[in-house]
Amino acid sequence: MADDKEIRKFIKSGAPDVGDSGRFMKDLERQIDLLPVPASLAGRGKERCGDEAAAILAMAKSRKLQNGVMSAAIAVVAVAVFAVVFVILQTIPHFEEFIRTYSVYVMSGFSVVVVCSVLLSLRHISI
Amino acid sequence: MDKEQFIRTVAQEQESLRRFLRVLCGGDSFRADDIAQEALLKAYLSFEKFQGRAKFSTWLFRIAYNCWYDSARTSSAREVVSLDEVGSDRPDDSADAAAGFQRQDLRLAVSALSEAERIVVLLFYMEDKTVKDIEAITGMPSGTVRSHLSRARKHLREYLDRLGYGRP
Repeated sequence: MADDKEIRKFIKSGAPDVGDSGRFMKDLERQIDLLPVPASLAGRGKERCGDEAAAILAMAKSRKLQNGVMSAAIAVVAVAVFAVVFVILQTIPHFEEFIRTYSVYVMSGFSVVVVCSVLLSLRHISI
Repeated sequence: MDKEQFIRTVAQEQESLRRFLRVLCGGDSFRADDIAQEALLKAYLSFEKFQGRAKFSTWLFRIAYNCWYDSARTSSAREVVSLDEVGSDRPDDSADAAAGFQRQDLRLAVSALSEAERIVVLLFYMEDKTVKDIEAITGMPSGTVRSHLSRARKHLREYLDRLGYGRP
């Protein structure tokens, strides 16, 4: 009984010959040249998307860097302010007593100063 | 892909596509090439619909199959469209038909199959498509494809055994 391989061999050996591919392709190209190039084959769509994506990534990277620098600057300022306060605390006895008595208010005021600094710095960030 | 790449890719696939259509058209190369050209122009104009989920050749075959199907259903006046007549032993009037097949055995063998079996057999054995590819091309569920393939194999085996094919 004929098996699968023999069936395949029989069909392939009897398949029609499709020569003259050159003529066929020439005709097809001639017809394609008469048609407008679809956007999906124009190459512009992908290039434009690629350029736009690159621009967005570059901007995001720049913003990230800016924000990082700003955050570092604020942290340095906060540490500096804290250091100054600490030095004053150590050198001025009455001040030290004042700080100890009103520590909650001092810490709250310090936090307000830091938050205000951050918020003010955000106002200058424009998109 | 751009226009030149499309043309280069199509140049690699056109032979297989035209061969498949030629058998479906009963050896009529003019009609087969007309349908092939129509299908390839449709593919060119609707390239954005090719999403890359299937192979490019599978997508081309699907378009070509649909074009042939539409042509076969609307053109009832032509002799070669009548699939029953493809199965007859009458000499074909088309000057090209005799040369369209390397062997008349193949023409007679596939003409004895049902339309669906014929299509599945040609795609599977002649064009080496997988069941999944055939499913994508014809829209038949894979179970149906396997079922047609199984029945077609049985008929072809009987036909080949009658011919004494493969016997030493």
